[in-house]
Amino acid sequence: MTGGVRPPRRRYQASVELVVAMVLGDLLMAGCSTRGTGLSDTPAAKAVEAGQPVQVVEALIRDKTTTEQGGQTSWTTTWRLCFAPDRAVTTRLEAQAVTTEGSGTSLRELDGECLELDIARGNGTADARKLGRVAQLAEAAALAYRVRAVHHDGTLTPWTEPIRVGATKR
Amino acid sequence: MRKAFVSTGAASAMLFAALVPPNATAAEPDGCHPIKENRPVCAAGSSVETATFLDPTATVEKPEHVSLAEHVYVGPFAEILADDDAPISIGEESNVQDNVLIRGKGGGGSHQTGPGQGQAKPGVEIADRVILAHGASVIGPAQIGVQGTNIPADPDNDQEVFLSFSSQVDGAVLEKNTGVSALARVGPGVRLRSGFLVLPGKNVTTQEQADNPALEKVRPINEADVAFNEAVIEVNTALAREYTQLYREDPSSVRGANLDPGNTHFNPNRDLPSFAGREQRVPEFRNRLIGDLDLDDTFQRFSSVSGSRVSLRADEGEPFVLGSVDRMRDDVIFHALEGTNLVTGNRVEYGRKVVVHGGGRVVIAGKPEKPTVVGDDVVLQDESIVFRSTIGNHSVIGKRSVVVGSDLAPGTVVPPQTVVINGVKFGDVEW
Repeated sequence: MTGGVRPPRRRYQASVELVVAMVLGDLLMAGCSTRGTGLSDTPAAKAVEAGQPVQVVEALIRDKTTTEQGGQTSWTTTWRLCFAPDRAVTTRLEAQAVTTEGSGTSLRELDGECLELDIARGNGTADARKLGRVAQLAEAAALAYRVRAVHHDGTLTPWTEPIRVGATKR
Repeated sequence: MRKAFVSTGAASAMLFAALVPPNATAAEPDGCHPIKENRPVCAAGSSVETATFLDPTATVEKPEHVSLAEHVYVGPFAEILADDDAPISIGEESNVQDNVLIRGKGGGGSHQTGPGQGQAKPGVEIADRVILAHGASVIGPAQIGVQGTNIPADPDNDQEVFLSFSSQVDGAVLEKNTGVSALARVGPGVRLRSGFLVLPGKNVTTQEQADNPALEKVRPINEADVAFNEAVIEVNTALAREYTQLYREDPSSVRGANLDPGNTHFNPNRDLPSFAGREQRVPEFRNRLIGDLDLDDTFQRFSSVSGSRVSLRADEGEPFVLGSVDRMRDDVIFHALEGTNLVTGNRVEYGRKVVVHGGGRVVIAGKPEKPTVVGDDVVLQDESIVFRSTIGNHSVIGKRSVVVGSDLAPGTVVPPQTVVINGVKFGDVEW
């Protein structure tokens, strides 16, 4: 679907259960609507590419339940995606959103080595959230991110292939 | 936290209602009026970097009462229908995608529920950064993205509102940071408050339904929703710029079967559609076939089996592949940004207002993502939607049904007005 070399794929567990901090399966790499060319509207994109795309070391989904005043229960599902850049040469990691409509132009700087995103929210108990959570995770999968490292010398790694939001890796 | 949104939204709404004279119409802010001289680039002399672009097939009625800000993209066969007492304004970086309808009046405003709820002035007022996706409709009096608040998932003042495929806002108010899913509707007099999104297929007709997620019509907006919307706005802003550039290089290139604009970071190249293996440029064609499409049919056959106001828009790269078309009725929309993300089989029948949208989907771990595939001899009935899914051969997708992220076996029959997500029935289309 897209050009370039895909990172290795691993086994995948399709089931998505409502378990706190549960790792759901293996990483699913997205073949989305960009080519990973590194082209961008940002000045940084004009820098020289160097090295290999950063590798994913962890991708997981966490569910958190909170009881508010008055006893009302709310829940949040968070997707966390972490990388292992070469720390000796890396200044920061940056991500770009890729959607079914195309890829954005903005770059999002990662907080350290991880990207974290709330992908589902709601109120009520586990039973109440079941259907809404499934729908939100399905809708979130219309979004993916590609990530690259910015080095101290200004060079950039090539983009990773787009990584589907909600994809997991043990 | 949610209670805080509700009280804030309600307070601002009540304040607003108190300030609006009863006979006022929606504001007609300074902006470009898409009169003849300002088509397709509005304003005619504006810089490529700030221009608003209206596809030449878009319909604008009473353009002197239509106001468009900068960086707006208006797609093929969109309709913007204002009237003397029902102006329409669209804010900066908003987009009006293929076959969207914005009608200044004619909605159910007379059924409004009372002060502080969803009362808009006559006409349609659309704020900055509003996405009207393929086939959506807005019927005035309506207001979208003007009032309301920031939300925790989007605290940075650059609000977005997203109306998904074939959704409808009819005589309602949508505050900042809201959304309406595919084939969902917000009815007359309702105010959708900041932070809420209507679930697929749901019909919100009362304020309680809009305010209370426990009634299972709405859900909170999350960070993934916001990130998606922000990127979609960037894409469409780029399209406004690049279609303007394409037009200025050659005005005939933005008509009929023709080039995609290319020159974006997500699609560097310009491509033509090909018919039975032959690339063709047909500016006079009544439908819009844009970019790297690969049709099995000859141009003559495709023209004979397709209706009007058909928009097959491949704004990106590699071809997407259409087998022989049995029949394609009016107002069909295809959108896919990468060729292999969308493949349709032979002898497929496309009903009126069908939307087929590509996008990657994981099916088996360790394997490449599946493209959106519509198999051989499939029937897509009127107003049905296929998004990021595989539809097996000989399947039937019922009228006004939507299939998202699903892999349907051959021979599957999806009943009319059904929402299918991840292969499971999510609910009914309620309107």
